[in-house]
Amino acid sequence: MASAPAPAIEADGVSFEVGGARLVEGVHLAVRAGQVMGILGPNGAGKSTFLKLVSGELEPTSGRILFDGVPIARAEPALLARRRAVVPQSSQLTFPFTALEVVLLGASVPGFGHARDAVAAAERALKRVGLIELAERRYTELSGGERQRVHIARAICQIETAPRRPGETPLLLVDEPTSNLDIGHQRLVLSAIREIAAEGAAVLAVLHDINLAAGYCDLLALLRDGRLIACGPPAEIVRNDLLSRTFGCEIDANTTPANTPFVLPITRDAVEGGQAAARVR
Amino acid sequence: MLKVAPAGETAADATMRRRVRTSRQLLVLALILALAALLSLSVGPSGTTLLALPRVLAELVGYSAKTDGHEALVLLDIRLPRTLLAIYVGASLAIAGAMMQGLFRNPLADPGLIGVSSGAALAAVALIAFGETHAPALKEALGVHAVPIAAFVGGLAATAVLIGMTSGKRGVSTATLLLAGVAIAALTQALMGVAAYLSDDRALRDLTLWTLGSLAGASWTKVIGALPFMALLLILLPRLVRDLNGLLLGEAEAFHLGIDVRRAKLLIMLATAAAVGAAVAVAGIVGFVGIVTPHIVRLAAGPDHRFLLPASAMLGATLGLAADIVARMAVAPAELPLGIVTALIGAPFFLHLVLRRGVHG
Repeated sequence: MASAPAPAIEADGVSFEVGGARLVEGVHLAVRAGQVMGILGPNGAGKSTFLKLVSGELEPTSGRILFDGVPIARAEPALLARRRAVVPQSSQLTFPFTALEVVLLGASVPGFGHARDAVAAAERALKRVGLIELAERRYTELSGGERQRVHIARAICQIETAPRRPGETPLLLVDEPTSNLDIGHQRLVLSAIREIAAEGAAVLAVLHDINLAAGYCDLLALLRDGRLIACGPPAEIVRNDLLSRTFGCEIDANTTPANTPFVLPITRDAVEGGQAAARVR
Repeated sequence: MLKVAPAGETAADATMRRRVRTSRQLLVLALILALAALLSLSVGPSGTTLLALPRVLAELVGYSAKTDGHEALVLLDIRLPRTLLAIYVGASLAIAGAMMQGLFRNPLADPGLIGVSSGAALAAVALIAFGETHAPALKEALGVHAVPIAAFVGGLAATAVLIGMTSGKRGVSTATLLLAGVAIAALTQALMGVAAYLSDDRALRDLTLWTLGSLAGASWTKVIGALPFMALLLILLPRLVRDLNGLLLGEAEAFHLGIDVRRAKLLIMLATAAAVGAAVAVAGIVGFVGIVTPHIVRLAAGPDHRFLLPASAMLGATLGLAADIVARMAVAPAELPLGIVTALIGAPFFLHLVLRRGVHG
């Protein structure tokens, strides 16, 4: 029996310093093919910086990032693009590409397949995020939520068209993919991300919403001040002590009858106070 | 405005349909350009028209009919090089504009407005004013390419300064770009003033032509001098299409798409300097072609550089020819400088864009 394959994404004691400030400090994490890992933490915890270290956009000051057990230090941009796709928090695009053209940029990495396949892949990606009707619409005329979904489709298209070699796991890195979305589209996008994982990808997602993260991720990692507080399945992570320590405020975790952990965004006092007020009325 | 696709059409079909449409559009642009070139060969204050061409050609191959040599001179040594240079200046400025706009993610970037042309002109002027006396060996060695090379180096320096000033920013605001351009232009004008003050009468006349932009001095020497830069531009352009498309998303996303951003910026800088440098070397500072042309093309067909670059080249060349014909004919037998004609057309257009977009965009 061969030993288990190396994790698809591994952070091995990764630290990042800039101008004397330690933004990420000694983070160890591993995501395997088929898994979705959510990164949670307060503003300024280093979540986006950590994602940039994993994407190769920043070089760790110390420690290593490994894809399928191979360090990515000094890898060519085109090589990285074959391995991982990234959905950034926001885009700077102000030129009037159509939605389809933006998604097709995901298939424009050198060495990627033929134009016809690319268009078909782009079309499938747009369907997955529920935007196929707007394929020919100008990006500049789309709403914030629609733009966000276009970028997710672009990343999916990049993963689908990448000519990976055997043993190379597709990686999807997303930074707050649901920040501009209503609840229906939040579910749609996270389901699409789950599907990508089910097809064999490893997903690392910075998320804000603890409940969405608990509902859709296999693993949650808590970051505070650049340090990993805890990492594990949602049931082990969505706990009062861990969340309160991470976010620096009182958080009351609970579980649904089906054992899905959740938190309410308001405090226990507010909940009980509210009930009291309702009783008085 | 929602475009309704024909029933049952997939995105792949739509893409193919669009490809057919864009190749048709490119063909139409090529035809219009050819017509403009013929017109440019036919029109001039001397009254010689293209009808003289068969006679001139017959004379060239030895079946000399009774021509007086004047027609041959006008057609082959004055109008033909002038037409070629107008095409080259229009096309390369339009391409340079499209590339700068892609690089800075701002549709208002124009080599004339943001100081690249001024940088190129300053270096060329310095060579014209001082080359003879201070570096005769260098000027001699570079031959007909001396002025284009100087302009290329000057354009490269100005582009490098601009990129250095704006590097890493999330899209460059129009205000930053234009202010940088104002600063570079002010500096180069001051230095050109110094050159004018120190130079002799002949150099001074050349110098004045430079700053206004003109094709009046068109010659085969200039065509040949600029040739290596046209070649460099043609070699670089196809390699830049994908990078420019990716860079429209921002530098971080371009990297995510596998683009080597540093290398891409360096190549775009080289291509821009080659285009602007050679255009400035043959015609001086000609503004606004680089801003008007890509804007029109984007309105018609979107920002994809696979189409934008060739279409801008052809439309820019056509505009260059049209503006030069106006420059030749408007006050014949005298001439308007080409740069004045393009500014009269382009400046109101630019003002319209700025007012609509705002300087913070």
